[in-house]
Amino acid sequence: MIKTAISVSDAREVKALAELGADEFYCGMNHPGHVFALNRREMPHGNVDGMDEMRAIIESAHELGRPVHVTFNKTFYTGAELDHAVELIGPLEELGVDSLIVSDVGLLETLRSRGTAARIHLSSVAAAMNSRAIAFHRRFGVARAILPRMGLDDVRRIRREHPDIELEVLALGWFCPNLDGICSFQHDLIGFDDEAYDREMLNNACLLEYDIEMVNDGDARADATYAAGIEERYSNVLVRMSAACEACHVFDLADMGVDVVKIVGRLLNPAQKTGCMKFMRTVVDMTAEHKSKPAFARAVKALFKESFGFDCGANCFLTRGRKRK
Amino acid sequence: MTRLDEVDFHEKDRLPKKARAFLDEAAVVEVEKAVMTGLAADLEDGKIPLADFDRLYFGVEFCEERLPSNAELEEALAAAGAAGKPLTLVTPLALDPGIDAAAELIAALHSREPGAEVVANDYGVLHILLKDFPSMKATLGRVLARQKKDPRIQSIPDEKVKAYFSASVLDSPPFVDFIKRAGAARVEIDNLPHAAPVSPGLPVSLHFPYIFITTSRHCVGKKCAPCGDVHFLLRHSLLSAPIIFHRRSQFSVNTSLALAATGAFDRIVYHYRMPT
Repeated sequence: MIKTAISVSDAREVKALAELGADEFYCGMNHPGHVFALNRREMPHGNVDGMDEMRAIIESAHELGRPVHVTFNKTFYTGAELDHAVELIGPLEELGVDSLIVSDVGLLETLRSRGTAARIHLSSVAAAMNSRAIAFHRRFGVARAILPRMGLDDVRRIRREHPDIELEVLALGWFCPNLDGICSFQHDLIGFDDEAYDREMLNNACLLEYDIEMVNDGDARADATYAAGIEERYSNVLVRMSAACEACHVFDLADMGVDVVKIVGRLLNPAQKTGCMKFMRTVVDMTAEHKSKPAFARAVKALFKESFGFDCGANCFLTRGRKRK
Repeated sequence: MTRLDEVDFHEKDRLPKKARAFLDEAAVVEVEKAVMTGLAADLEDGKIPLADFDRLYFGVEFCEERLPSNAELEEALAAAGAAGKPLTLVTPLALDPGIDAAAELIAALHSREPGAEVVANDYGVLHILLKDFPSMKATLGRVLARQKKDPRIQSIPDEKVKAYFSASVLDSPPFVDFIKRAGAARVEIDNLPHAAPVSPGLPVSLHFPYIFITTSRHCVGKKCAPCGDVHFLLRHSLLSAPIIFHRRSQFSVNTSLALAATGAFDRIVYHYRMPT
């Protein structure tokens, strides 16, 4: 059966989430004393504080037969940052971390040449969204590819071209309006220093309140109706980060042999994690009970409403695999 | 509605509307000058003074739906050939159907010019080039040659924090060693106002004047209509100049050639129109 993965930031969460049905755990480590994050989580409470806590998480998870994956998923590391990352990776390997979630080719190459006891999972931040990109990254010994958000046809193609690699799909949780791994808006600064930068620097750019103006560079179609339509699409779809659910797709994902569905969000609070885990566990269990996608989807939509108290429409991830015209 | 060429960007610079203006300004910088477009129609009727550039970049970086057809590539090759200029094919990041289409174009170009240059903005395309077309010059495009481009960086008063953002992936020795061993011939980056000159031991191109910040799989247009020239400007108190939201992607602007003049780059890629 398809498995579920959810984030943890301290050991107390492990047993509770495992009892709710979590099969795997992922997390990131804080990087004290530095102005930048090592794993695209600027907020300390989204990460694990220190090796003692990490030891407790790994021991708790392993007692329950669950693996722990630790993320080092910056889009790129400079040489000095790689040194910081490897300083943390060594002790994690000694603690028995199961996998490292990595996106940067420099770090992948470092781990390949140095060797590691941990498995390597290719992060969705690597933006490997086609079968050839996955083939490229397999030279680094990648055991699992965590796919960026994409349509079912695209997942199916990757599954077909790579039958022997594990696949993980982001099925519920935060949805970046841009391609996360391609985005060069800053996701690095942690903490706050009045002297060093304005507080709004810490916000994701996709959460800023912009003043928006449409400009015309000579387009004859740019009448008021066209402008209004685009502006609505812009504000509702294109810029704002939001939550997105692909639970209805779990039926197909299970059928095509995807290994894991991920609940996205290291910044989810405990109540959110509980709600999402209960929901997703039930969704996965339902794949064995339903024989048709439409019936499954109806059941999932009803479950969503029951679980979260509102209709899933606004949170539905609708992208389908695109065909070239 | 405001026209894009009426908008003030950094230091009241306006975007150059004509390639000629760029050539005149960039004449003092002794590097190769390439012009980029994804539309074969831009090469007709002298719209682009191709004879005055050193190279033509043809293709797209971000939208696989706008990848030129084989026929359009032939037109571009004909125009470049007539002007006596080499052509560099530019390919986008893409899902599998887009990579399939890019592979067709690469094969078509390879059949005409086995040693031609191809820009890869997707590791899938780089994989194809290195594995199936080793005679071609594989170039890492600016999507893969990552930098820290958030335009809010300009508002940071602390120089140490600001310096953190001047780094790029070319400051990673394992990355640079790997791409050189793998066979990359060139790297392309953006003309960031806060970037430091780089020297990775590979030729480096600088794109001008649009700095690519981010892209998505959603387009601001409706139903994938032909790319029009309507853009959104995003303004914020932390931005000294607006961000341009064009179709799928967001750009800032830097019309300064100071970085290009440092001697660290051997090519400027001038974008004739907003990148797609």
